[in-house]
Amino acid sequence: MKKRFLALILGTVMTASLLAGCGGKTSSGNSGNASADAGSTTSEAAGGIAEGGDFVKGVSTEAPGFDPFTVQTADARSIFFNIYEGLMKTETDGSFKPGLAESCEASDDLQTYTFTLRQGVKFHDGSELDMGDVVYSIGKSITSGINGFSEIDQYSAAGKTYTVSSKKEKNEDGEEVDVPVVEEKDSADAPADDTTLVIHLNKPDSGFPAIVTSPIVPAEADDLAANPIGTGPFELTEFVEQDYTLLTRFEDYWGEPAHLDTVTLKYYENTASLATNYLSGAIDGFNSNAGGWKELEGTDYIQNVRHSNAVQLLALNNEFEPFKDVRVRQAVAYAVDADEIIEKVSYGLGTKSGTPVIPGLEKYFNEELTNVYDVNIDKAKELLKEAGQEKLSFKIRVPSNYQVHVDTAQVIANQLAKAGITVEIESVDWNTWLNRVYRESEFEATIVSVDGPIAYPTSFLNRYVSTASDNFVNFNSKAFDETYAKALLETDDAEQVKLFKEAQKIISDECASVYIQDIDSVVINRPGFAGFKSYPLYVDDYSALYVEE
Amino acid sequence: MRYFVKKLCIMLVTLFVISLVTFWLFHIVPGDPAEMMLGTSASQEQLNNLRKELGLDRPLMVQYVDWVDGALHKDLGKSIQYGKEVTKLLKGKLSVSLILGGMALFLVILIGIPLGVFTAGRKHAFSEQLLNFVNILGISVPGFFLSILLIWVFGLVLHWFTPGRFIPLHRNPAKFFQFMIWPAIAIAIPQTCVLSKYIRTAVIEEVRSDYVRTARSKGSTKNRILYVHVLKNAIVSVVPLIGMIVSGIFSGSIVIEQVFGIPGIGRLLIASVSARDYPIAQTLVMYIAVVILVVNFVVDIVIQILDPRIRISR
Amino acid sequence: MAKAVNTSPAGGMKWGRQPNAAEKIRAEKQNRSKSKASGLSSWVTGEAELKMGFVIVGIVLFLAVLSFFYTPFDVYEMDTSVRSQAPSLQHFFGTDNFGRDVFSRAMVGARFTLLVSVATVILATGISIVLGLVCGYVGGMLDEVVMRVIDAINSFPSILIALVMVSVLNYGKLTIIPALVIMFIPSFTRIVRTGTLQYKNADFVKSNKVFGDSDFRILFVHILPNIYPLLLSSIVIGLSNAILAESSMSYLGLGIQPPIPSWGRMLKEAQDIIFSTPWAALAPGLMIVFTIVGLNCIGEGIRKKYLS
Repeated sequence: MKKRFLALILGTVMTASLLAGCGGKTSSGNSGNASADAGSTTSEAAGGIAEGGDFVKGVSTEAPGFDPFTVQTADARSIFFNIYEGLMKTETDGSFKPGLAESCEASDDLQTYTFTLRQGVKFHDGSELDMGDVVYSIGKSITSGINGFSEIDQYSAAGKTYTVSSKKEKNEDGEEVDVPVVEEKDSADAPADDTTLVIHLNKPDSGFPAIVTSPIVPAEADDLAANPIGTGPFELTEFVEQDYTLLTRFEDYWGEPAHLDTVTLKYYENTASLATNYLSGAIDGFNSNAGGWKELEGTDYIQNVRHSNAVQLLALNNEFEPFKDVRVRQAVAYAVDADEIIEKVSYGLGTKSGTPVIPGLEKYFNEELTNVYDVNIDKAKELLKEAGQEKLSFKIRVPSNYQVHVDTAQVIANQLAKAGITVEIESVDWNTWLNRVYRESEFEATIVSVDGPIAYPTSFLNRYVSTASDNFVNFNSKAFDETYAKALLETDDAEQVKLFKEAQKIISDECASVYIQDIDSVVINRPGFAGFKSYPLYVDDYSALYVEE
Repeated sequence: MRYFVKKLCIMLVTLFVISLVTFWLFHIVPGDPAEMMLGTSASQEQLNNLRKELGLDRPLMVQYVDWVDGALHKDLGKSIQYGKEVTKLLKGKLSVSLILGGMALFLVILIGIPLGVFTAGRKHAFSEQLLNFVNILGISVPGFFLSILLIWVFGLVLHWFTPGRFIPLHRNPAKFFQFMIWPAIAIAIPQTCVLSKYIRTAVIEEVRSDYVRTARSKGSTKNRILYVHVLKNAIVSVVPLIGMIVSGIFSGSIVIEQVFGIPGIGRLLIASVSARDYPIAQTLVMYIAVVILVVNFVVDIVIQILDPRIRISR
Repeated sequence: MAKAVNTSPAGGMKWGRQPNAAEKIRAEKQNRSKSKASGLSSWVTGEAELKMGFVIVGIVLFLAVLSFFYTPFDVYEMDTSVRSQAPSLQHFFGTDNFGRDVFSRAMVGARFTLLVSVATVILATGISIVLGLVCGYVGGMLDEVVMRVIDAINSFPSILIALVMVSVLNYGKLTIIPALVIMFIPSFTRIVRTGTLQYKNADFVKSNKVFGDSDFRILFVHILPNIYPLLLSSIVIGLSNAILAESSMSYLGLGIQPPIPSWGRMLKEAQDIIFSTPWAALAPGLMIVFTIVGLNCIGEGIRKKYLS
């Protein structure tokens, strides 16, 4: 299912409504220790911890290399979570605890952060972590354009100051683009010792600790893609393309070491074959796609339900002639029945959204918008008539590797037919989708789940700014642009939340697209393996897993 | 000799055409590896940086010449998605696919030839008709459907093997073969049927020929004639088929590796095509083309040696 | 380089010394009039195969045509109250995981699978006849070039051609057809070309030439009809290969678009639920096998009756 979505760092705790949504379900198997809540930190097991053991997890994507500065896919980040660590670490409740930094202090204006480096931390290659590695990694994150790092305008450590500026460079189309550059200078203002790092931002941000959870690597590490070196509880010992990734416990880990000896990530390109491979005994666990767990009925398994932290939407290209009329977009929204999609495609395991912001981002999520476009075929027909589009027909281009979106497209096609709208489905491979639909906006409608790289409304809303490069739906609203810009500059927290919610309301009023649901991800483990930890992130924490005694 | 040289030249020209066409084809397909690596939330900046790093911003001809130059110096470049040298990456995959293909070929010959002779020897008999029908059935089952059936019946229901648990040869040879026999069967069945059908036709034709009548009149037993004289000639006449069977095994294994989850070149080919990992995909396409061309070339030469009549007829 | 040996799967059964096809048909006709085909011996003459093949293909055709007017259930409507129902009198092939009737979907699937394979074979045959005749007749440089290209296509993995064609031509309902046509041209062209070479220097062609017939007339009026018998069984086998190829492509997600239920796509979608809902995979799979068996029977029948 959510295999390639980018992982998301959530700043909030999973919400109560989420618990209500998922907490009532128990595993339908005969398992005695079924645990099905997304919010709890661990699934407590009856048995004690037996150290050692091997766990085989079935996965349906493999990391395209292990260089955290170039690879951004969700499943890769899920692996990185076990190999690499940042200055801060995400907790199961969505808060942040010090990681490679011993402490973190923010200035009152939330524009300057001071970190103290932890001592005695070892990399997988045996070398010790020092300030040089941290400075290198931050610089690399900035120049690689990792999301959120553009907030940094200066950082200093060990007697040196690093200033971030941008220079113009021509891209392949001959357009001028801004490329970030970092300049190093000796400075008396910089902290003189080797353990203090000061980072200055170009705007106040209380969410900055989320950003520095991003990996710290040894300075000048040149082959991370093949030989990842981090400080995490597992190190990568073997990677066989198209077959498996072998993670082994890192014995010199600075924190509490992992319980399992090894974790093997066995790769199958077909998400759906994961269930049959679990049944055959080839794997001990997998993240189920919508309904995949249904295959396991009548067998032994432990099931954990969590949010995928991405919003599935029927994206409408606002530049496609009929969709230029807001009434037509609204008509489509009224004709789509999100509840039916959740029931049919996700077997009830999904949370209705109504806005591009994930429901899990409770603070900013505008829940008033969830039911605005509840199904109303008459209204849809009426709107189409007003717009003179009674014979509306369009194509939905879906990425064929996501069966869940292909299935959703089929359900939507049936729903829209009721309002007299003809839909043709075109399933394209993921790469063609990325190129034609996402980059070139060559589509009429598409279905995909969109997440944000960081747990902040900007990562969900920024793409709706009329000039944003990733505004693939070509949404163009002055009101939104203004409100959003105002929200960014707002320093008062409550006021900012209000503005972000207002921005979402504009998207909903203008009906930029049809926002369907956040599909639940179901984590299946074989009984006997316990300690599953759920994060408000798209990650699997293998250090917590253990074999029951 | 002239024939040999001519054939060799033709083969090289074909190879060149293939390399050019492959290269060009890959570049008209939309999408590039940089996009694939970065996914949906990367910025345009990140994309441009990565494209430059991967050399994707250079003109097409430059990239082609570069690639050919490298290939001639045994440097096939680096895989874009894995950042690993293509030659290194292919090593493990090739052996898996070759073993799988070898096992399938072994099964095809082991079963196909006796089956063909057996059915030929039983003309008009009911068993022959039954076998004939089984043959048609065998040719008619798509490899992937057969694989799904094998996985379902022998894996999930009977638990004779563990679908999805491929174990490398060097880890545990017994388990490796225990697993690989199933995909080999799936690949072999249609090819076995094709081969046995041809053998049967060839044998029937041979039986009608003069020397068999002579041998018969001299008092050789039916089976002796069938398995010694006739079979030898029949096999010779089936040599041209080897090329077809090898290419059948190759294309069959592409889909079947996918269904069984075997980390061979077929699966790598599909993955690298959809990830737009040109260096790997190009190498694999060229590799498969070379194998098929070479097999056909050898078959042509062998036919020449075995049956010079063909040269005259040309 | 004349390839006297035909190594293509769709090719005829013969290689090397081959009697004139026209002669063979004559001999066969005499043969038949002598022995009345009955019982097991009808399998030898190919009568039984032909009969069986036509019955099978007839059933599939009937289902496909019927699907335009009637299907027991709606093919697209998802009724989740009857998810994954086992085969019953109501649902002959059961229902899939979205509660859609598998039998109805298989009927409509027949329509598209047949459409794709028939269109593919017709187009490929048409192109191949022209290519093969011209190459065989004219020979020389043109022949060399065309044959090289054909060799090149033949050494490509077909999936690659399909992927590229589908991407270049844009995804569409029937993009799969040109992709398959390209895959089939090489073997058909070879057959036509080999046949042309065979008759090019035949006496009747030479004499017609002396009488002043145009090249065009010689090719299409005198040579082509002699190649038909060879081509006919290849066409039938080509049809079954096209069905196989179409379902493989759909299986890999390159074929017919959802929600249209082509057999390959149905099988792909049902593969994931084979443990809980095996009928959803078995039905389209067996339909493919059934149809191909029918076509292969016809092909075999034609071959036995007219060519051996």
